[in-house]
Formats: sequence, C-alpha cells, structure tokens
Amino acid sequence: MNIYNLLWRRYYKVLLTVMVIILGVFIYQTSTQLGEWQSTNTFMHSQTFKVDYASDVEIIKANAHKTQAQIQADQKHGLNQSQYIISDKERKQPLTEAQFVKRGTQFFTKETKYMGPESYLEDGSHRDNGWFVAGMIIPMSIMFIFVLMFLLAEDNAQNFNLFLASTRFKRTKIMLAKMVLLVGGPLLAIAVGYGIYFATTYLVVPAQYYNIASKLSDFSSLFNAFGWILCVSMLFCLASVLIGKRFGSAFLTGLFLLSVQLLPQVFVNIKYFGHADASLRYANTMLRQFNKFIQTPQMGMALIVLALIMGLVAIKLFDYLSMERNDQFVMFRQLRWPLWIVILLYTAIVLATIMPSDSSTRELYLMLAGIWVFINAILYYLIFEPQSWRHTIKSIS
Amino acid sequence: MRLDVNELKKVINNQTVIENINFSIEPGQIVGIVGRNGVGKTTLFKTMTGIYIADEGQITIDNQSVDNHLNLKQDIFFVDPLNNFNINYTPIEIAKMYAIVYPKFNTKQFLVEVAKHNLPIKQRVKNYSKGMQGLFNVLLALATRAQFVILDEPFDGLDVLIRENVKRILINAVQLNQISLIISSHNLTELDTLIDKAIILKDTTVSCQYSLENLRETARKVQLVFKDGLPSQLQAFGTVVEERGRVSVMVFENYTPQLDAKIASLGPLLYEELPLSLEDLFRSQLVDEADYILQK
Repeated sequence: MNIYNLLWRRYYKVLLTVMVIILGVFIYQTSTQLGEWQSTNTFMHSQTFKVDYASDVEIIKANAHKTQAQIQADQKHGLNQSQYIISDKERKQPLTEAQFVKRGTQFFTKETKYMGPESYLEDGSHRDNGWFVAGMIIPMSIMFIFVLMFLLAEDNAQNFNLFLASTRFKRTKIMLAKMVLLVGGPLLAIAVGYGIYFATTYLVVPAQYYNIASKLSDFSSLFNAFGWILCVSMLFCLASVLIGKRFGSAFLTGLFLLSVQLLPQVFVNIKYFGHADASLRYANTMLRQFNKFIQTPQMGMALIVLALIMGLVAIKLFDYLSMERNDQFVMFRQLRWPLWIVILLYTAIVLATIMPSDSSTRELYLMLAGIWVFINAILYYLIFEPQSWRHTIKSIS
Repeated sequence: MRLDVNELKKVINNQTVIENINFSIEPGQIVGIVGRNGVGKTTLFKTMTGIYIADEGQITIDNQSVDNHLNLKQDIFFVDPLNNFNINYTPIEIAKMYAIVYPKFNTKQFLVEVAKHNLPIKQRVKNYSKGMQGLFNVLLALATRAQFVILDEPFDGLDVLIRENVKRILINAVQLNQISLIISSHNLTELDTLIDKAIILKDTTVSCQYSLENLRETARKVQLVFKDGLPSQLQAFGTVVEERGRVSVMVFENYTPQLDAKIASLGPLLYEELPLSLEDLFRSQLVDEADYILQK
C-alpha cells in the first residue's frame, strides 16, 4: 500500500473518465478515418469513378484553349461540369488517372496551396485526416489541463493536502506521485491513443497507401506540443503549491498563459517605439522568427527541461510547505511581496504590448494605466488581505 | 509506546502561537488539553501531526523522531473536524483510503461499527448531522488502531446519549487496546470524568500539567466566609475562583495540614469543602485573566 494507491483512490473517477474520453476519441477517429479511406479507396477503383474521370478529361481538353477567366466564368454559370479537380495547377496539365488515384488514396492526405484536400469520398465530400498527427494532441491537452487545474484546486479547497501532510508518506513522494498520476496518466492515454492510431492504420492500410513519410515534420510538431503541455502542466503543479485559494492558482496561471503570447510583441514594441509606421510593429520578421522558433523541436526540448525544473521546484516547495496558509492566496508568507512585485512588473510589460507608439491617444494611455492599477489593486487585496480594506468592503456589501 | 512532545514551537504570521511545549503520553493514558479559545490547541495538534511544520522542537515516539521515521505516523491519528476532506466521501470510500494510510485499519469492523451506530453507510459524511459526524470521526479514529489518537472537540454538537456512547467507546478502546487519547474539549465536565491527565495551555505554552488522581489527593476546593472579607494572606496559597459578597470559593492546589491550621487560625465564619472539578482547575489557572473571575 503506497501513496499511489491513496492518490488513485482520490482521483480515479475523474482520471479514468479523462483517460477513457481521450482513448475513445482516438479510437473513434481511427475508426472514422479508416472507414473514410476504405470508402475512398473502393470508390476510386470503381467503374463510376473511371467514367467520371474520363468525362473530366474531356472537359479539360475542351477548355484547353480558354483563358483562366473564361473557365471561371463557365464554372460560375454551371457550364463547366467537371466532377473532380484533376489538374495539377503547378504543372498546368491533368493528372493521369493512375496519378490521381494514387494521390487520392494516400492515407495521410494533406492540404496544398491550390487544391485543398486531395482525396475524395464517393459523395464528393473531402477526406482530410492530415491534421490528425500533430493536431489531435491540442484539444486533448486542453481538456486534460482543465481537469488538472480542477483536481489541484480541489485538493487545496477540500483540505486534502492537509490530510496528505499528516500521513506517513514523505512529502516529496506525495508531490511526485501527484504529478505522475495527474500529468502522467492523461499523457499516457494520449500516447496510447496515438499508438492505437498508428498501429491500427499501419496494419489496415496497405503499404503503398501508407504515406507516413509525408508526415515526418508533423512528428517534430507533436514533440514540440508535448513539451508545451508538460511545461504548462508543471506550471499548474507549481502554482498549486504556491497559491492556496480555491481556483486561485488556476485563475492566476490561466491569465499568465493567456498573456504569454503577447510577450514577443513587447520586444518588437520596444525596438520600434516612436517609429512613424505603426504597422512595422505587427508585421515584423522578429515576430515571425519567434513564432517559428517556438514550434521547433529544440524549443520542445527546452520546454521539457523547463518542465522538469518546475516539477523539482514544486516537489521541494511542497516539502517545506507548512499548511497554515492553505486557505490563503499565497501559501508561503515570505513570497507575498516578491509575487506581487513580479505581477506588478509583468502586467506593466503585458499592457505595454498594446501601448501605441505615437502620442496621439492619451486616453488610451490613461485607460491602460487604469487597468494596470485596477489589476494590481485586486491582486494586492488577494495577496495581502489587508484587514482595513476588508472591513470597508464588507460594510459596503 | 510513549509519545514525547519536546520544546515544540510554531509561529504563524509572525506571531508565536505555541512555544516551549513539553509533555509526554504513556500507553493507556487519556490526556486532556485544556485552554481558552485561540490558545493554540488545534495548532498544537496540527504541528504534532506534521500538517504544520514546527519552527522548533520535535515529536518522538519511543525516543525516535517522527520527522525522521515517518512510518511512526501510522501510530498518530488526527482529524480536524472543521477542515476535513473526507466529508465528501461515503464511509466505504473513506475506509478504503484510511486503510492505505493506516495499515492496521480494520475496514470490516469499522463498517460494522458505523452501521451499528445507525450512520448511513451509503451517504456522504457531509450529509450527516454535526453530531453524527462527530461520532463518525471517533469510530474512524479507533478503526485506524493508531496508538495515539488525537481528538479535537470530540463532544462538540453531540446530544447527551451520543456523548455518553462516545465516552463509553473511547474508554473501552483504551482499556482493551491500551491506546492513548489526547483530547481537547471545552466541555470540562465531560473531560473531568474521562481524562487521567490535564495539560493546561496558557499564553502560548503549557502553564501546568496535572495528574488528576494525584491532584484530587492534594487539591481542595473550599467555600469560605470571613467576617471582614477574605484575608489577603490566604490568597497567596490558592486561587479565588468565585466570589459572592463575603462568600469566597478558593482552590488550593497543595492543601497541606499547615494550610488547614492557618485557615482555622484566621477564624472563618464558614468553612465548607466542595467537590473539585476540572472546571475549577481551569478557572484557577486562568483567574488572572479579568474576564474569568466569576462575580455573582
């Protein structure tokens, strides 16, 4: 009997639900994509398709002498009755039937600049599963992060951490076990989900249609996404040790994550402060480079290292956490001033992102200053809980 | 097993809540922690169990530090009745969780006891009445088979029948299993009939410890009437716990034959010995606090 058993007892209903939902979505998507692919494959090898394709070729030949504007006008008036987009616009000539079928029956479809999704179902709708490899992790992670926020907040609010601190289990092991179960469990479900997806599609789809090589770049995005998720999860774990009010840590960390995307803009603003052309501040190569950089595997690796550091800090802090401030905003009394000063500076930096570079809008300056004062006054009240304010607010209410 | 609290100190928000706390608890002993509201009883319990980290001092069981031998914590039980996570669970779920924390936990017996005391087994504890929750916490505490069971206000909100029942359960557990109980309560009348030792907390520290058995042999509560009021020289030997006109009630912690002779020599109009209760000790210890002098 160990700490994992205890925490599993505490979280298993929510954790199992999340993991079952994650696996269910992956299994459903796998099944749907395979079904669509099989339907496409059957159709593109059918007689109906052959006839339609031949008809389209005739139409393309008939339109060969027309300009692009004329072809578009015909399409607008319903004169161009082609069934499929069989011309490769880069080569300006129709694909052969074999080329077209090969392209359409590849399992991992992808979007191109001109043609949109390249694979077709019998009813004419598009089959698009190209997004899945790197894209599926995002909605799953958002759900799991919300659940993590909820469970960590409830542990504080329901005094479960007090109970844990009174048990025979080492505090460092308690925090580590929490992280393993609450972060590792859903991440494991996502990994198993991907495993099911790739294993099933690999086994079902014949090798000539299984174009996994076209998706290799997506795996680096997937790795990067994993780094972001781990980092955000650990940030929530760390915040749950520092901030005690029910959903206090979730609220503050959520706002921080929402504001983080504005930070690169701050550096651009500083660089172009007072520049006449305001558009430079938004369409800047510095921003583009930064956005590109945060999606690289190197960034993913850096995030994983950062996540590990935050995890270790959270474990160490939990070891030193005396629970008398469990129901207060900042659980370490000595961290109240540092936290408030950091928030003070951080909110100033974030608000600077929408600061105009010219002096024409003084009202906006005043409004931003007002917002800054308001946010920091609220946080001052939450962090320091000044009794004089409290009495005033109570008497007003 | 013997539990020792050594030089325990806890500072909260720059205020010393408890300091220099020293006492020990022997097997089979029932200890009452008595003190006024806010004196730090719950803080003491939470510091003893590691919920609050002590600023100084330590808890030892058989001379082994609990901080260094965390497994010893399975022999200490404490549940804060006001801030308790387990109210969100049913008794069955709670039993499963506590069985992990306390390896000696007897789940079957616990559930039988819960059912025997007409506590709904499939309801969450938060749906229980306050009295039912109090009874439930006592049953849970005893089911852990921890050697040292800390109960914070266990009689709070219990009706007279359940109160008697709880006392009977506690005494049985002590007699059968030689466990030790550490109980805080404002209901001194209840504690009086239950505890072997009283530890009085005052001004952040232990003001005194009494073995009630010894105390009853040495202490006296006496009602006195003197023609010209209570002689001041007598006040040095005891504490006035009640005054009604010329009638004074005094508690003498060490009532010796010499003191008896001295009182007789002062010629009281009335001398009557009254039964001594824990409440009297409580008053005698806290009597310097202005609001605690009873003037009827």
